[in-house]
Amino acid sequence: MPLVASSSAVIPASVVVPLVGAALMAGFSGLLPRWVRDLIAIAVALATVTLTLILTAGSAGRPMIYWFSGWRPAGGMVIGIDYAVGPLGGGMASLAGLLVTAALVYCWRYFDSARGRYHALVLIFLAGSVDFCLTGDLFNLFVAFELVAVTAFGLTGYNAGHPAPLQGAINFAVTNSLGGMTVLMGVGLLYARTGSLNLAQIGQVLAGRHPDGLVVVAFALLAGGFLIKAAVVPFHFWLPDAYGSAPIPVCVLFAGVLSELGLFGLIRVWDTAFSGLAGGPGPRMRAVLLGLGIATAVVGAVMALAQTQLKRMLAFVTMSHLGIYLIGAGLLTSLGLAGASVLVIGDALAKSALFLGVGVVQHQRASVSEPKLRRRGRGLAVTGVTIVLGALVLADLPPFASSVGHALLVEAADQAGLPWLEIVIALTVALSSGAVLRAAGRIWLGWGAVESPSPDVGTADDSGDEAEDRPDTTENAAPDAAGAADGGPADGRTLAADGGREVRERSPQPARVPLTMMLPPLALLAIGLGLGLTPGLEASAAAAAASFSDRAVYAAQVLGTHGSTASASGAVIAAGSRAATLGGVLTDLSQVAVALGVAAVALDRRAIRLRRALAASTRWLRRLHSGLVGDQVSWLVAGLALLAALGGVALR
Amino acid sequence: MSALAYGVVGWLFLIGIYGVVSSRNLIHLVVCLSVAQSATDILLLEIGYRAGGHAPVFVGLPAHPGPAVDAVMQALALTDVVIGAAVTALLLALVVQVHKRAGTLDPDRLRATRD
Repeated sequence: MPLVASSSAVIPASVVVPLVGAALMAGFSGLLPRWVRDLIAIAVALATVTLTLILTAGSAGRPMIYWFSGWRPAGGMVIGIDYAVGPLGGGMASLAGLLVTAALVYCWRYFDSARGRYHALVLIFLAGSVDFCLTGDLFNLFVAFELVAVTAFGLTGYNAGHPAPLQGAINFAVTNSLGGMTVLMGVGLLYARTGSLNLAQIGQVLAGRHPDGLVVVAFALLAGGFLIKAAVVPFHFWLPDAYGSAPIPVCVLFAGVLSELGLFGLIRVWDTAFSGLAGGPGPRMRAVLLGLGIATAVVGAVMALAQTQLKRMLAFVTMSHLGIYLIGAGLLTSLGLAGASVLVIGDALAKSALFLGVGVVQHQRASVSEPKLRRRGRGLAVTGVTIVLGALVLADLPPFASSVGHALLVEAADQAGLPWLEIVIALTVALSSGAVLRAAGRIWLGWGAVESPSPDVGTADDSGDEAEDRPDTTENAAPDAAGAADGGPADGRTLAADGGREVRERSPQPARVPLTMMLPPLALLAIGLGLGLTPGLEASAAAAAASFSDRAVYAAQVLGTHGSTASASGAVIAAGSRAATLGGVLTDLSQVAVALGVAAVALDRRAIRLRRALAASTRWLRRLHSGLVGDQVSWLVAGLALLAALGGVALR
Repeated sequence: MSALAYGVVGWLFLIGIYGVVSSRNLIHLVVCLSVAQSATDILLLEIGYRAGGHAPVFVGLPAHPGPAVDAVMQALALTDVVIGAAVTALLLALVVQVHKRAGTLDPDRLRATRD
């Protein structure tokens, strides 16, 4: 059995390798020259990608179970801690590794002086993500959740010379720490009820039971924590602050992996632990999740269109797409989950390409403000093409992987008897991609009026908000405080006023774009194209999702009680062949056309009244995004209460 | 006794969150977050508690030691304490940076990411 022996070593190695790499980076960074550090970190990330890809391929037939130190379950009782690796978790872990690799290559020239700490943090982030994707233990899930979160807080504020990323990091840390606390409380309560921390065993104990108040509260606390991380309305307020201000290579990790992990955790816990509860909670839970997903998708898309700061715009685009993944996963069918999974991968590649493209613009033009960059895209043609292509891929341009995921999702919505979801998805996707296309049109083609597109950008409460370019915001907002503190750091402020963050982060405006910044976004888009052209992607995604969401099979595999191993995967494989059909391609192309139309209307000088009316009608929504951590926590508590009420209705 | 302990959990969590929401000073805010976190630890210990149970140390026990409290929950609480320390340290470091860059600790005045 050489194959079994080697694969059981691969499972823990996929977490151990990045952790050891991080320890080396943190411990010996001072002894190594910069290029050696970069090379070692990239090699470690690539090794992790390889290991997780082996796991993804190896677990395609049946999940791979690994018991730490060989503490296998005895008589159906779990006494150890396990990794339960399926193709979905393996794929998610591979995606994390891929994006970490891209971020490390990119930062080669992005940061002038990335010390070993940056590499160490990124590699710990990767180890935590892989752990989160593979584990079958609820408490281990929590530890991975916190490991990813804490490194993410640090990375958000990394090298910050400006208040915005610091405030983003603080808002992010406070809200997500509260999320961690609710998850841990949920873990504790679930342990109190079931006497186990193993997901499979918890599922076995809860199966067929009528949920009491304790189980409902435990579910609400767990789901609330995961939804905070997934930035679902009304838990989303921290996301634009953190993603909109973090360094670009970090944004890539966040937009592609971080929030998706929250959704992954939610669906994993639901499928393995709660889905067997008596009383058929599925349909009511579906309504709850779909409602949250639609709200997130719509709010994200509307807010994206209202932004003129490119990174913050992309943050809202990310959030809108998170809502779409929640719609797919929230259908609680394996086909919906398959669609969401393929979309997560396809979109992550495109979103990362967009962030990296914006990073090139910031690097070359020292600004990420759409009005300021008008017509200044000349000379950055490759980046312009990258950004337009990325936006079109996000609008599900065939034959990229996103269009395959979209086709599966539409098919799942049809099968669930909810075909109108297709319209919701198409509209939100077109709005959010339209926002990016509008920015590209203004920056590279100089289209649109010279004035800012949404008039309320220029109003009193918004004037100082170009976080990247106007670091003196706090002085405007708080003249007395600035006056008191101005004596010492005054020269620091003048430095900051002409782009302090840029000065600190990298040398000003080199003549050519370095290849290590130009190529990663193109490579990511190419991978998306390659995946989309891979035959059998739908079938394998459907099979992966089917094995992921089958509670009984999962429990039998983990607990070693080989009962019903008949998988439902056969039934769904036949379904998802829509992407190849003419209808599917036409749907995707019309979605792309609508996105282009949105951008055209947003740039057309004649549509100024329409834009003013729209801006006025969404001003209240923008006001809610105050950036105040107190407001964000208030929303979070209200959301938890709402979730507990909805969870009570859905489960009982 | 048990009801009192759960009451303490609820009280600490809510008072901590109230402090976070109403805080006008970032250092105060971070400490309030730790207060909310301590509610989690007490909840875990309470879940693992057994009336009359001894500490989960199984060396040098008397002949009939009786029941022990649940060691698993204590391990969870310990892990949470470590995470809490890391988060608090990180947040305080960020707060120091905020004070350096923005010259204020009041979240209402530090509005760099407002929409």
